[in-house]
Amino acid sequence: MLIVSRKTGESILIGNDMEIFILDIQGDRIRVGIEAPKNISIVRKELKVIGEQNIQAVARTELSSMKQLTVMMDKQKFEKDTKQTGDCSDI
Amino acid sequence: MIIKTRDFGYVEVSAEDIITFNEGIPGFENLHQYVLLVHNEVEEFIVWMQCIEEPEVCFIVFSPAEILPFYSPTIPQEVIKELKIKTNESFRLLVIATVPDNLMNMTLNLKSPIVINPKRGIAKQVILHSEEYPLRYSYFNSSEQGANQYADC
Repeated sequence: MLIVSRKTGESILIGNDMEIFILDIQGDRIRVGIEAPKNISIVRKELKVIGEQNIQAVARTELSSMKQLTVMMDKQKFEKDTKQTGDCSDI
Repeated sequence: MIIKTRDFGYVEVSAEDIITFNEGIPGFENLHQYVLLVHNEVEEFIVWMQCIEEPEVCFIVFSPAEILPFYSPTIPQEVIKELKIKTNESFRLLVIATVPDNLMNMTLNLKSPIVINPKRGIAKQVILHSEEYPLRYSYFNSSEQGANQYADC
């Protein structure tokens, strides 16, 4: 990985048509400006990861499996509840 | 109004039950309107978040209060502001489930819950900055470990 130090107001060129500007630094937050061609997709990484997870999550689910899931979760909940009341008192 | 749903055919919903995600949700940025549906044969903590604009887009979401007692994320201030949640008003929190064929491998996205202002019918999928909660929390496989890890006892 190439590492460069930059100050506020300075920038970095990537290729011939992309420029990254360091606009502002406050504590652990850095505001970055990006100039790039329209066809380059720019997205916060965590948004992409969550988007991919969301796409996986819409996969079809059967009503029957949801009913089965209810039973499984009830059982789990019961076990956890009894375990918890055994281990620690309610607040 | 009558909407087409993925799992229940055509369903009548009232316009005031519609929740709007102004920016959509990640992966589905162009879809904005959803309704929450429950089924009378399934526990109420399991909710179908059905997209109105695209019938095939439907999420299984959970009300975490009942099933994840340890889960109490801090909602960033900018989200509270964006959703116009007043300090004395409550909001609704939901987590998206990914349900594979083997139900034991179901995971819940605790990293980015859905926050709803029910009064105004607006919502947002929030990305928590803290690393405290995982993107894929395995409900059945790590719940005991998770409960011990997160519970205050």
